[in-house]
This record gives sequence, structure tokens and C-alpha cells, in this order.
Amino acid sequence: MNKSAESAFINQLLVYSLVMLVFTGSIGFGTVWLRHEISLAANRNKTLQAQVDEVQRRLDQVSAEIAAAKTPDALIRIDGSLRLGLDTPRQEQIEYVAANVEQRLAARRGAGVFIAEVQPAALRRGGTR
Amino acid sequence: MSKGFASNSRVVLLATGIFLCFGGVAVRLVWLHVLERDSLLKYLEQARRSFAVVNARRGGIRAARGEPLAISRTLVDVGLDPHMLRQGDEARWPELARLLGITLGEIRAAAARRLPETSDDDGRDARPVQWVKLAEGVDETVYQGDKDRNIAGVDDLKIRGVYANRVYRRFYPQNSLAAHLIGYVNREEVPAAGVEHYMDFFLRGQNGWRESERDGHRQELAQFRTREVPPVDGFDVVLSIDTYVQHLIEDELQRIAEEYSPGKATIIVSDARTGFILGLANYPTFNLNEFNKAPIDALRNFAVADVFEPGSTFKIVAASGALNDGLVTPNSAFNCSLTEIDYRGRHLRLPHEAHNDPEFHNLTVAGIISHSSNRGAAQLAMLLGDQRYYEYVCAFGFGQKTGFPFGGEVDGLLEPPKRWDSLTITRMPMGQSIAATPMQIHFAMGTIANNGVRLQPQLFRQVRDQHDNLVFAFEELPRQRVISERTAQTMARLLMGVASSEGTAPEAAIPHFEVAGKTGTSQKVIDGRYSTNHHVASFVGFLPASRPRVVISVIVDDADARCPGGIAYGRKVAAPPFRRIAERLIQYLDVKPVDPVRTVGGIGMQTASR
Repeated sequence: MNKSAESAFINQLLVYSLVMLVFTGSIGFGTVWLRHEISLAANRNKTLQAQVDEVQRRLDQVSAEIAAAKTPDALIRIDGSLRLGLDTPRQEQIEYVAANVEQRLAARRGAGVFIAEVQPAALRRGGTR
Repeated sequence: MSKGFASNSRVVLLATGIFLCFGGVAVRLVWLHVLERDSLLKYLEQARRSFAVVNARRGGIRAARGEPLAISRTLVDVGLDPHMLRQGDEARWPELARLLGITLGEIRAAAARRLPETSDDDGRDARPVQWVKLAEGVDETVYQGDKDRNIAGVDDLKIRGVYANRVYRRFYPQNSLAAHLIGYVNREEVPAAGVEHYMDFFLRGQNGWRESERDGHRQELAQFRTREVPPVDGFDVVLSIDTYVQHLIEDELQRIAEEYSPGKATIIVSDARTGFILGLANYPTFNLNEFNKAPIDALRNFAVADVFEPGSTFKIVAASGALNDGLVTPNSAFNCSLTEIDYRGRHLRLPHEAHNDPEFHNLTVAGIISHSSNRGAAQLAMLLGDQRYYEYVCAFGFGQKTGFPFGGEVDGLLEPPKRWDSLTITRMPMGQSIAATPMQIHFAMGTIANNGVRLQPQLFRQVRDQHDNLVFAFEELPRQRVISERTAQTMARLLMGVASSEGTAPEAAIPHFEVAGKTGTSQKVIDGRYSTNHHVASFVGFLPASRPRVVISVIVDDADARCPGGIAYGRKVAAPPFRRIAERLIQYLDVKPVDPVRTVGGIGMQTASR
């Protein structure tokens, strides 16, 4: 290429300007795209956070309902409405066990195991068929 | 023409155009970023900058077994902007009214409020109303609906102009249970009483904040969040209160209220060995979720904020002191039929006895306790002398705060000996000339139950973080040794005599469980004189005497009107509730029966045999 000093400079300037324009433009577009992605990610995070908050609010609501449903007053009301007749035992109904409780329970539980009469095993002595 | 890309003139023209464009942009940038910078930034600050506080969740208050007593939840305040409503949405207003539990007329009235009622007649300076509240404290499920159960909510109606503000509100699932202990957070989110106020430092957490920008619709632009500090949720506070015990004593108070209609009453239950409060209830009480509707008197924690003359329950001080100093033994006898006595050169009249049994002329210390002899208690105090007796009164915790952390605890009334008149030494041992709170009396009895060491009432068990990790655990707090272990055990055995067929409160006895306690029936001072129609009935005791597990106090104020004979005796009014509570606690706490020994270890319970 035959370049005169004057036009070569201008041509080079033009080329460099265009290259710079493309370069800065791509950086600009890249930045815009990046910011758009950041914006999308931030909004997704915000939405997720809102969902977490909502779940937390639901949990609080359910916890409050469970707590209110388990109060002694509520349980007594349920007992009355279902006619369950539940009440704590009176003092005279209680029998205090002085013996070892585990042994006593084990004895009661195992009492039926050996009820059937034990048949003595008959052992054959000597001889083969 | 050169053989470049273009002719020189065109290139120059193009280059000039490009540089002019760049120059224009550059000038504009300089204009915006340098010259107009301050004013534009100021505008941006106002228009776009957003600073939002992110509220921390307030910690919960839990009972000893983990049941929630106070929790935070979000509620919704629903309102409308009258200017944003659409004609086409009116068909859905009846459904909105139904969901919010209001009338259609209220919605119409709210929709018609376009200008504030306080504006000028001309309507000048009146900014349009943008928010009219329709309902506050609406449940999340009512507002959001329940997708799982196909229940539509306010939000599903899609009515334009109907908005919601979410607010954190404190919720007390147990309503009035332990109301005087838990306290409440008022509508301004300020903890106003009880644990809520006292433990606010742990409960409140630390709010976070978020700095960002918002768009023209006032919506936050999440991508411009510059700084963000996340909130730190509050800690949970675990109390020593047991919901079963608390419910039990509140039921008993309700029964007392129905039976006697007293002015007020209190029941305290604590662990005998640690001083942890298992239950504390007052009558009248209030619903924590409707604290603003409760009368002021119902908000008082009578157990620590009110004083009364303790009456015969106070006799434990004189008896313990005299036994502890070795001045008497349980079998030492006194003539309690005397009406006058000489004391330090003075001739003093002794107080009246409630009962005038012939055996009173020769009553042992054990008998003085079991028969609740006023003159016997006075003679025991005289043996100690003014100063020594006063020291014991102080050591048992009277005249000073017990250390209960809140509720406006008062010291009670106790004068030093130099300010006593001549009769004080005869009257104070029977529980007059002194005023104490129910808590002081309870922990004075607790001193005997705890082998002579006075404890500080403890209400808090633990502080836990939001992940349920232990942050701090509270231990028992012994205050001082008041009497020796041996004296305490002797006193416990003597107090068993009160809840026996020979004592003043056989109604409190539970066979095989060694109930030790003391009745009290104190006259109230009305218009400067002791009234014969107004009494404070009490029974303070513990069980089993040989290895105490719980201390129980039942104190009922002014229950005379419905009592037979018009006098509310501790035996009649307070002892039966004590027994009913104790019977339930025996099962609940698995208190084992003691061998059926009803004698008091060889100590004569009545008259000395000479």
C-alpha cells in the first residue's frame, strides 16, 4: 500500500478510532450485559429472599397455631368436646411400689411365657435301628 | 487522491464528525459529572437512594419444657388507597368484607375518604388520603389464602388499591398463663413489663439495614445494593416456669376466686433446693393478647409489689432464732396463758390468743408452732432480745428485696429496734408491726426447706440462640445461711405438726408425704385500726419435710365475705388449695412417699409432760 504521510496518518487514525470504537463498544455492551445479568441475579436473590421470608412467616403462623392448640385450656376443651374423660389420677388411686420396678414389670410380662406345662424330654437310650 | 481508504477531505470530514460527537459526549459528561455534579447527586439522593431497616426477629420466651410462652409472628394491616380503586372491583368488595370480618359499609366509607377530615373548608393544603386502614392484625392465611387447601385470601381477590402492611406482632399462645411474669410488648413494639422488658437485651436482637436505590415506582433496585448488614435475630429466653404447675395454680386461683371472691390472691411454687420458681400466679390476672383491655390493678404482680402483715406464718422466725441460738429445745415449755409479762424492766401486755385451750399454760416450742400461739411466739422473741430477733428477721429476708428481677418489687416495712415501741417485741413475732411481700414470706419458708440457707428467687433457666445453642445458663443463687442445718431440720419437723390432726391446719395434711407448713390469718389495717372483717389468709409450706422438693405458698386477701363466720382463716381458705396443689405435684414431680411416720421424731407435739 502506497501511503502518503498525510493520508496514512488519517487512515490509521480512522482505523484505530474504529477499532477503539468497536473495542469500547464491545466493552460497553459487555458491561451492559454484565449489569443486566447482575440485575437479574439480584432480582432472583430478592425473590428468593422474599420466598424465604414468606416461608418463615408461614412457619411462624403454624408455630403460633400449634402452640395455641397445645395449651392446657385447649386440651381440656378437646377432652370435653370429645368426651374422653381424661384426668390426672387421684392420690388414692396410686399404689407406690417399693420393690424394684424393672424386676416387677419383667416378672409380670414374663409370667405367661411358661404357663404351659413343661413336658419332660424323653431320651432314648442305646441301640440303633 | 491518495490510495487510502477514502479521500482526504472525506476522511477529515468523517474524523471531524466523529471527534465532534466524542467531544459533545465529553462536554456533556463534564457538564453532568463536574459542573452539575452536586445538584444531580442531591437529586439522586432524594429520588433514588433507599435506606431500609431490616428488622430482626424478636426471640421467644419458653417455659422450662420448651413450650412457647411468647413468640413473634407477622400480621397484616390491610387498607386501601381511595384514589386507586376501580369501579370494576366493587363486585368483590363483599368478599373482601367477609374475609376481613368487617361490613360492606365500612369499605364504602373508607373508599369515600379521599381527603382528610381535618382539612380546611376550602380543601386547601389537603393532601389526598392514600391509606385508609380497613383491618389490623389480620392473619397471614386470611391475607394470602391457603393454596394447599384452596382457600382464597384477600390478595387473591386482586382488588386494585387494596394494600397490606406487614407488621411483627408479639403473640402469647397461652393467653393469660403466667401473665404477670411474661409481661408484654405494647403496640409501639416497646417491651413494657415482665420478662419482655427485663430480658429485652437478649430478646430484641439487632436490626440490620440495607442501602440501595429505588426506581420510579418506589421499588427497590436490588442490583444497586451497595451496603447490607444482615439482622441478628434475638435469643430465646427459657424460664423455670413449668406450664403444668403454672396451669395448676392458676386453676386453683380461679377456684378460690369462684368460692370466696377475694380482693386478690397469689400462689407461688418453687423448687425447695434451688429457688427456681416453678409457678407464680396472681388473681386478678389478664390476657396477654389483650393487655390493653385489662384494668390497671390486674397488671400488678401482687406477689412482689404488694405488702401485708404476714400473721402467724411469721412465727417461724422467732422459733427458728431461739432454736438456732440454743435458747430452747423443741420440748422447752412456756406458759402461754399469761396475759402480761415483764421484759427488761417493763411490764408488757401479751397479745390475745386465737384459741384459749387449757393446755396453753404449759406449751412446748413444738406446741407453740403447731397451735400457733401468739404469746408463745412473743416469749421466744423476748428470749432472743430486740437486736438479735431483728437480726434474724433481716436474715430471713424481710425488710429487703428478695432479688426477684422485675415487677416493681418492694422492700416491705421493717423498722430497726431503736424505732420500736414497747409492744413491738410482743407483736412482731405474731406477724404484726411488719409488712412483707408474698415472695418474702415464701422464701423465708424456703430457707427452712433448704436446710437453713436462704435462696434468691430464680426465674430464668437459660438463654439460647436462634439455632438453639446454649448461650447462658442460670444457676441457683444462695444468699446467706440463716440457721444451721440441724435447726432447719428441727423446724421442718415442728412444722409438720401444723398439718396434723393436733395442728392448726389438718386440712393441709397428705398422709405419707410429710407436709410441713404454717397457717397465717392476719387482720388488715383499715382506717388505722385492725379490722375484724378483713383478713389475709395464708398457708406457706413445703414437702416432704425430711427431703423437701417444693415450697408452696397460698395467700388470699380479703376473702371474708363468703367465709363461714365472716373470717377468712388460713386453715379454711388457704390450706385446702395448698393440699390440692401438693397432691398434684406429688404425682407430677414423682415425689416418693415417706415411711408412714407421723410422730415427730420423739418430740412432744403438744404439752410438755411434767
